[in-house]
Amino acid sequence: MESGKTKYERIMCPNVIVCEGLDAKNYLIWLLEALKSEDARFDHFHVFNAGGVGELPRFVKALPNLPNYSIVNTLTIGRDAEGDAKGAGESVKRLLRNTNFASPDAPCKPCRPKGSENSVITGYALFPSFESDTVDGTLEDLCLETLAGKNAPEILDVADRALARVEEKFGKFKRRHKNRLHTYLSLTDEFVTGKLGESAKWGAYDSGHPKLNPLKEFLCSMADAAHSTP
Amino acid sequence: MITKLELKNFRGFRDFTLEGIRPITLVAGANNVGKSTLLESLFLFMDRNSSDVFMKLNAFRGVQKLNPSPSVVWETLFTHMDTGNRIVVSIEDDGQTQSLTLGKDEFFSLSSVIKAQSRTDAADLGMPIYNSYPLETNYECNERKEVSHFVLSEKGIALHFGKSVHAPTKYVYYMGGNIIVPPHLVAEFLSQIDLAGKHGECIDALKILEQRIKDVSVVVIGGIGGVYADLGEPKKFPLNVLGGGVNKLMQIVATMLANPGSIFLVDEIENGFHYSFFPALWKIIGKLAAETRCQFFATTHSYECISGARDLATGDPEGRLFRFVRLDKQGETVVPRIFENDSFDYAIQSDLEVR
Repeated sequence: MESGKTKYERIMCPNVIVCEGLDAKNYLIWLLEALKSEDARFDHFHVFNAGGVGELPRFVKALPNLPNYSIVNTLTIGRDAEGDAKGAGESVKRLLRNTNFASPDAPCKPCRPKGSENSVITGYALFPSFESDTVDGTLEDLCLETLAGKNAPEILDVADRALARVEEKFGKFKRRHKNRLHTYLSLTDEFVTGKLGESAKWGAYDSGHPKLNPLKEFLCSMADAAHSTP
Repeated sequence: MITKLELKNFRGFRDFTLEGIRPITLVAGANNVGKSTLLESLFLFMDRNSSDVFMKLNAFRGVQKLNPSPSVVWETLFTHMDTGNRIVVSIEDDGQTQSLTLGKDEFFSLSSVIKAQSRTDAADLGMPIYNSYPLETNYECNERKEVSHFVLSEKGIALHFGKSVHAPTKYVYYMGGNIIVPPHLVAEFLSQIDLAGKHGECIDALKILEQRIKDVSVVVIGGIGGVYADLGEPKKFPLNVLGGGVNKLMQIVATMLANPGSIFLVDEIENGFHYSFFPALWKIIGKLAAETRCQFFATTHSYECISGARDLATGDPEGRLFRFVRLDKQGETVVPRIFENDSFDYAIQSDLEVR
């Protein structure tokens, strides 16, 4: 997998993943890099950052006009379920329909184009659970469930107690998942200066964690779908 | 305004359609995809009644002297140089479809026409070229049909008009490579702009690129007019001393202001301009295109030039003024990838490759 070596990002692989932010992009790049030694299929994905969940439709709309689009076989959209996983899923389906791409029925299920739709297999995955559209949450929640750092559970416990004390005194955090992850990272020597994506590169999360299996299987099925007949 | 262009068998365009053409259309794409050829097709169409149109088309490609042979003069315009398939250039202009077809006409004889029509000695035409043939051009617009023939002889290229040929209603100007709007013509345009009271507009545009310019004027020396710039120094300077960018901008501004309604074709528009000037350049072109109803087609390789047009796109969300097109090659077929302005804005904002 290459992420585009020129200053301006150019499609480099036949399997495109677009996610909503830089953290998600860097996380996925780390994960794909970690997995490609066990399965070469993970080397054929290019991850784009749409620049915000609201920009996902604009990216998908621009995609067919970009140079090298002719090599694209699959398009995967990755985004947070946030507080409404079902709504997030419906939003992805809608944006694919509105941009003349095939719209899958469910997350983590490759969907082949029909009729005059853009001839690219599509799919989507929601963080943190990937294949469920009933589990709310975010990428940060997934990261916290797959920590790889030394003494991670104990440190996370300390982080949770600290957050609880602050909330007791000053009120609930609006984006607690972010506070929780960043508090954990700041309580380590190795990851204290890193954002989510950087800390992934530095080994904060476990690429072999069973929680990631649905995503791995889905991405493999996307890579395979392009080469199999319906 | 031209809104659609269709090409058949014109150089690398076997069967090509470009819709959604706007007053300003910027074309990008890889080398040899056909960006310059697209401009040449428009030039051929608009300049079809000029006997030196093929000279000019070859000059755009750096060929200054032509051997009067079909293979040199016009066969390179045919896809695969195969004159068995006629070239067709069609445009939709202000809702009307007009088409120009070019093809061999081995039955046409210019000498017999001249003999029949004016008793001119056909020997004045020169000896016909061995292995040559007349090229018929067929223009159609609604009921109107005009047939002309280009004939090669040792004396050059002759253009014979059939019955009732009308001059095209729009002028076309081409800039690119070594081709410029000649200085004496720029001087003439400046004079026209002066008469029309638009001199100030011209100065305002030039000042954005060269702040020292206080004024420009036409100076005639030896019967030849040239443009001189007042930089606030004791003497005025010929404009061509001030640098390629200023001269190029002057050519663009003067030609558009002096020739409302014209078609302006610029190949590799970025040449001669510093990257920091591109946003201002597109702002100037946008203003002039809207004011003069000139239609502006440009090609570019430069990302900075493309991104410089971003403000033009964001200020035109409905896409009435500006369009960015990337030419793409799928095997042998050229396909236009037309960016709506919102997509264009997004792609530039996100540093996505669009060329």
